[in-house]
Amino acid sequence: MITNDNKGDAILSGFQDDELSVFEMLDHILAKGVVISGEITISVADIDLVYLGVNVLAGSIDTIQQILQARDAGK
Amino acid sequence: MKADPKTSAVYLYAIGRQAELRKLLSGGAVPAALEDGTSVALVTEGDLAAVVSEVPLSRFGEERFEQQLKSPAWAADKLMRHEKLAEYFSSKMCVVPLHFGVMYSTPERIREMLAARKERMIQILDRLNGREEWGLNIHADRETLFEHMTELSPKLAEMQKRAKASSPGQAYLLGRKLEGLKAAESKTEIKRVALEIRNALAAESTDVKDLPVREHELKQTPAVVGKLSFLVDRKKLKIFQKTAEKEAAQFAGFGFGLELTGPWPPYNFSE
Repeated sequence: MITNDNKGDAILSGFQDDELSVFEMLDHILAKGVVISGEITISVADIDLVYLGVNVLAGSIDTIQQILQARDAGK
Repeated sequence: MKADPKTSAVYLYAIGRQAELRKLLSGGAVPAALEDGTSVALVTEGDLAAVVSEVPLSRFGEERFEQQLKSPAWAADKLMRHEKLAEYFSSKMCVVPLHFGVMYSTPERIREMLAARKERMIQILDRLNGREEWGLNIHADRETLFEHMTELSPKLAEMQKRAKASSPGQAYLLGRKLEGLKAAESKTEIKRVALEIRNALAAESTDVKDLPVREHELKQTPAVVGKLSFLVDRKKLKIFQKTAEKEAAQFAGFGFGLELTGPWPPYNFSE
């Protein structure tokens, strides 16, 4: 079993650190149950509470992973 | 905070009791806000307060935010800043941490929300007090699992026993049938083992949530076959971790691996 309690600064230092941390964080920090995905309407003037879903960030997450995989392949 | 709603919004990190939050904020080493040049502040209402900072609509406004998030570096930086602030507060006091991306147009709107949800917020704060979130990933190496299917699956074990006691011809047929059943049985067994691990850890925690497994995680080797989040009492953390180790040891030989992550701010238990 791996215990990973060092969630580190991976993404801030150009994805240098522990790649696990980036994805692990997403499992927690992103809303699931109350997601307004794809069609997020932040009408900042009226509506207020806005949760961003996994879907909105999916593209970015994939890219981050590709960067990490490419880096690992080059090791 | 004097945010101009024409040019900026108010971003929320967490909600907690005002007195404690004030003390922490005046205490010094507070991590950076989402945007450079802005600071972490409180919007207060009665005993409660929200930890906030100002964000420009040019990047966080309708449509703009979605565009910005397409840049992985930008998204990663903002996520990490949010996480650091949530960790800072939840490691030092009891707060309701908010998921990434919660914004209100003005501080007044936040006050209205706090006033309207006061009872509920206090209930959640009481429930989260002394507890933290721990993530659990269950991995399965399909090849190893396949090799050990006859030991793990009661159904296949029984068939193998019968094959051994049969005539050579019958044993051959049973053997072939057994091979054909392995794929379907491995799916059943993955579910059974994941559920067993879930139950064992749920017994040592306050609450449990199933998290969605992403597509690429299912395809990787070893595959992620389950993702869970537990709300764990800090006083029971050792027992919780020991239980995870015990479960990990029990199923390691069959190709299962457990990965425990945390402590996290209790994002998944704040609703």
